[in-house]
Amino acid sequence: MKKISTAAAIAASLVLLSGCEKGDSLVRVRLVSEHRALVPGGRTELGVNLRVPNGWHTYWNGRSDSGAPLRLRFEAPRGYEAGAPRWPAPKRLVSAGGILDHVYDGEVTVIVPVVAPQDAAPSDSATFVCVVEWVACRDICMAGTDSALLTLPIARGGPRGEPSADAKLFEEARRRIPALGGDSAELTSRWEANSLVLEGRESSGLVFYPASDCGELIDPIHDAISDTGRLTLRIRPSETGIGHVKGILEMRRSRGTASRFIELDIEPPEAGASG
Amino acid sequence: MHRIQTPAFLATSFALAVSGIFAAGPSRAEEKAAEKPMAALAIGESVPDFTLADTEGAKHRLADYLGKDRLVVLEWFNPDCPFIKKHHAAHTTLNDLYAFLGDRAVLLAVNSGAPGKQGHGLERNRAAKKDYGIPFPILLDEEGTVGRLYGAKTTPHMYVISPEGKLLYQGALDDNPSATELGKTNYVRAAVEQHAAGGAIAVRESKPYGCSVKYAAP
Repeated sequence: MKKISTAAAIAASLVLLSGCEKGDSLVRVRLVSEHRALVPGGRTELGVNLRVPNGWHTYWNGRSDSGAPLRLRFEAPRGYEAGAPRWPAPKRLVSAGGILDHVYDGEVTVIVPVVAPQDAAPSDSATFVCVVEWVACRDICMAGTDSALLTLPIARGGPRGEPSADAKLFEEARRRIPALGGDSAELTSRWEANSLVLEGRESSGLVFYPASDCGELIDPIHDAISDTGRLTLRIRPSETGIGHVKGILEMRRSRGTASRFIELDIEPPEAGASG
Repeated sequence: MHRIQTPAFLATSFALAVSGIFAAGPSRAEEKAAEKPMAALAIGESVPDFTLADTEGAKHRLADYLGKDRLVVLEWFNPDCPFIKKHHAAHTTLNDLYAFLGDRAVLLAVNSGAPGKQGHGLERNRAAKKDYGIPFPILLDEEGTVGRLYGAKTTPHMYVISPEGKLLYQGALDDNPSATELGKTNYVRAAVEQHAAGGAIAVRESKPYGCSVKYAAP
């Protein structure tokens, strides 16, 4: 494990490369931690935080008619394990010409779980780096690449230390991060020919955000949002049949109650799996 | 994409996408003001005819280009879109395609951007034609009529039309939806080559990528 002096050298080199360090980029990128320190063998959560000016948006990694998904490369020190990123649900944006995009505006954070090695020494530190390639649009579009880094100290063990000043970003992100698989007591699904019918118990509205590899929806502008607890997704068969219905389902509740987000992966009717 | 010189101990890497935090989104009722989706053209079906003027004032009617033993290739265009800049400025994909097509096809760019939108207007497109060295016409479709007829969603969005006026290919220019990096397969070039060889076109349709076409609000 290298000492912090090495990380400082990396930081110096990154300043030369990073638009966000110069402060002149349209998309501001920060790498943040929920806690102030890492613990040997312990897990903590880092976050890739992006901020765009009012009126601008970036693009989800799921399906959109235009734009391009944010691409991010995350680098951790050797011996550290970075888990699968957890992405909050996006927002629908319907533009003139019948163009449906799934976007992020305002401040956005993706959570990346990290586990430190057992032999991480308390005198050391660990430096993480992220590089983000983005396309941002309002009535015009721009593209760019930015990077950020984060150096965290290693604590002696026990608690991971106090929450960091950015801990609230993680609380906000988790409110829109989907739970895997859903809850059969709250959500039911069934196939009616080539249409998937979703019904959310006690939902005041449903919104489906299709993943990039979701089966093709015939009319996502109209089918993928409902002001009731029922949603009917008509799927266009491809040459190989009907694809999986994959993505995030938002179950809206009555006013004043937060939406629930569920990650869906429903097999096509030929496989005989529904509900 | 810029590359960071990665120190030896910064070894673990993966690609991921980023998502965000929002207040409650619009309801179905609130979205009703948005335009209905356009009817997409089907592969093998006849495409609609149109007449548009280019940046020099010359009128181009699609029907005049058909029936002459050559294809017609359409590129939806916005000179200030990063994806168009990738293919027209950072790289010369379209100019290379034009050279490749030769007598085998007519290549036309169409800009369906509305007044006041990015990349709109006679002067801007005339300047772009010169700056990018574009050897083929840029047609102006300010009302978005032709764009909507064809269901053009992005810039670029490519269409390959047979001499009989049938749609042979529609979708992306290549297989890398990046604003900076080129793909390995140019779908338009492949479609033209395969059609010329008399065989089936392997990829007849793909998801287009790029900036949204900047249509006028309905």
